Amino acid sequence: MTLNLPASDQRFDAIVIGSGISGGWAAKELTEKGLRVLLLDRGHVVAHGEYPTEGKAPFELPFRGDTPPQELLRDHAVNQANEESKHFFNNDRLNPYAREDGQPFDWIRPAAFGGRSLVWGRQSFRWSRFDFNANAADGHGVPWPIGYDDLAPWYDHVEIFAGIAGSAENLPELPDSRFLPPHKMNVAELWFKQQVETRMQGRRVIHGRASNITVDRPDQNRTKCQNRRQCHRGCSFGAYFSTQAVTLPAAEATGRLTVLADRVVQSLVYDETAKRVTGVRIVDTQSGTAETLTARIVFLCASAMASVQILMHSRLSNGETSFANESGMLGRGVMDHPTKARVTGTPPGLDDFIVYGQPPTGFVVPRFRNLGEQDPDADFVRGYFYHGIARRMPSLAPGFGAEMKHAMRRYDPWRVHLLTFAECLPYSDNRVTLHPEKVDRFGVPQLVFNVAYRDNEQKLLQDSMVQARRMMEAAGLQDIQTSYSEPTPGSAIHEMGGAPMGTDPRTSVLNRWSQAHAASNLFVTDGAQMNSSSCVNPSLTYMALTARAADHAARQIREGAL
Amino acid sequence: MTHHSEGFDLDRRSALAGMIALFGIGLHPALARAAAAGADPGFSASRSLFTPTQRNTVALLSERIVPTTDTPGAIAAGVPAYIEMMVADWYDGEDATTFLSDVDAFDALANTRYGASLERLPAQRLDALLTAAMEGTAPGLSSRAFDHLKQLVLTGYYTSEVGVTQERLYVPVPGESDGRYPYAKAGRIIVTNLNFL
Repeated sequence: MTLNLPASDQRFDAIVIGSGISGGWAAKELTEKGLRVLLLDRGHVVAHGEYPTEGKAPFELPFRGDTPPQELLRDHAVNQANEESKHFFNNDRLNPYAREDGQPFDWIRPAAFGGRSLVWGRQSFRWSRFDFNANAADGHGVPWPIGYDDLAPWYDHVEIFAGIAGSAENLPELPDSRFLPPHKMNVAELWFKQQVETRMQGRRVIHGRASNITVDRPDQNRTKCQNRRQCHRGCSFGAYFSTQAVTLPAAEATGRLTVLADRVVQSLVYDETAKRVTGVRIVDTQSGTAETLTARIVFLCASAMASVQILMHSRLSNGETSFANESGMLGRGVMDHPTKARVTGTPPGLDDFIVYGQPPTGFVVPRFRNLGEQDPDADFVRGYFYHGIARRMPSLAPGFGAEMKHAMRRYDPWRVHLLTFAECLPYSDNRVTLHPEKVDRFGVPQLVFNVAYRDNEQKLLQDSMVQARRMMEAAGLQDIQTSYSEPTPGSAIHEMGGAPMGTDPRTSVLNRWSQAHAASNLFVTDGAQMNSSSCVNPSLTYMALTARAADHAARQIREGAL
Repeated sequence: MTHHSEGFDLDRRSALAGMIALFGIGLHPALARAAAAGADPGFSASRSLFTPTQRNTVALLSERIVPTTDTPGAIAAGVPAYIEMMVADWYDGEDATTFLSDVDAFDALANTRYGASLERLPAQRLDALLTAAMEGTAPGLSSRAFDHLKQLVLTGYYTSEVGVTQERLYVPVPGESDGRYPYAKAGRIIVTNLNFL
């Protein structure tokens, strides 16, 4: 990393705000296309390989992996980060949002260089044609200005570099990626797969799709996954996709990258005549020094809600309204994935086997509801899919003494889990706003969330539990149990939307290239740009959209349009 | 170590040895830490909370809950110090007061029931006290006294170095995954991450 200060004395072609999954990709793509890039993050520097809790045994952590309740309440009241990874997460006391002033929303965000790429779930799925057509088909939300075919080559592009392990299945509802060999299913997962697929026509149980590589990549200095299942602590092997392990080294190799950590962005400077973003106002979180940086283009990748917050606080000369809100859509259509519906059951006859080495993914059951046309028995639109795993937990034996101690050397029976991830509709009145008075320590108005799940989301979750039970009964699982708790929006940590892309500037914030209608040199390529949510994990789509937008930006620069 | 089946130990050695051979002198810091998982830094309470008698009572009861058998018990695993740390640095005031009062109640019970201090009781009488506590028939104890003490002992034991590396099988860097591994080859719980209880 180059750290020649002050940054305002240097000339950059592009400023990338946020070093997470999207920002890392933007930095890599833009530098590789010849641009001099400044990459900003509000978090502290985390160098690859310097992960404080990685590889530590339980007895090497003072509180054996948990955060003491007093500290949890004080500094991690929202994100509930534990001792294994709390150093990557936001201090909810120092960096608050107006949580009490809106509807319940868990805004869980990291605060370290690399952002969510350090701690994400690593599940990587392409969106399907059904997803890109959904808004146009059922009238919810603004129709997508792009289709699957627009993004497919960019999925190829990012998958080859990131490394996605999975199995090719040729399913229109869950298109295949450019896969590395999949992680192994365990004996109970394979049994479940075989039972379901034999007994339920068309229902599939397939390998999870994870950005944990299954073959060494010496060209990237990455070693294949070691099955430690402690990814959220950071991985010095570089086995899973993170900014540190994958995109940052590529960007640095160009010699055109400058990185500034501990820099929070307050707002963007906007030239109303030229219709361009002409500056980025930043504060050094350590010294409190403020400066305004300039570049030809800006990539806003601060994470969906933070990007929306920055846009809202980037005002026209009237001091009131955001330059990016001509449509009135800024902050609207906020989504997350409703979850917290779980069905479990025990497969018979596998008690002799356990798992040695913990793979980084389980299995998934692709969406099977309302594919292309409405199912006659469905009183909801769109669908859901399941993440699944089969596992055995150590037994907790009753009593005390030698007998108990030795009984605790055994495992409980296998349990197959199906956990629902449902699509959330883009309701325009599910929105975030800036609090009229409350500001954070950098003077930025705090976000207020008014986001709620509604009838369609509830029905999806209910149906998912009925269908999961049906699958488990058909498969012959025993002791089937359902658990459900009302999901708080935000808790799936897939929050997205708020600056939707669309064709019409009157109903969208960004165009089909993730480029602001109001400022052609501003690109918003994180989750803010989404105008529907699909039901699958979103990060791979952000990667592809970012690479596509970067290609477009570089082409426009070459053509003199920017 | 006799309690590890030979087959498993071979597998474990080869996994670790394989990793070390692969990386040679460029041995990964995380792997080095894992391979050298030796010294327990011994995190201790930020302040001394127990009286000497309470400390002794906690130790004696912990050892009866997880006794020394073919592997070390709670005392050798440092469980009493772990409990003192948790009560001093983790419990809120009310929970800590209840815990200390229950520890005192065990002591008082030893005196009323057997006319001797707890530390002078033979193992079977300590077990009788714990059984009474477990069954809710011991006067002076809070209703969940046994459960709470047992939870602390188990958490402390199974996250200790003894618990992780001797009572259980610690495989920090498995390398490969085998999802059809015979339990008989391990005969124990395999610990790879913090998923311990």
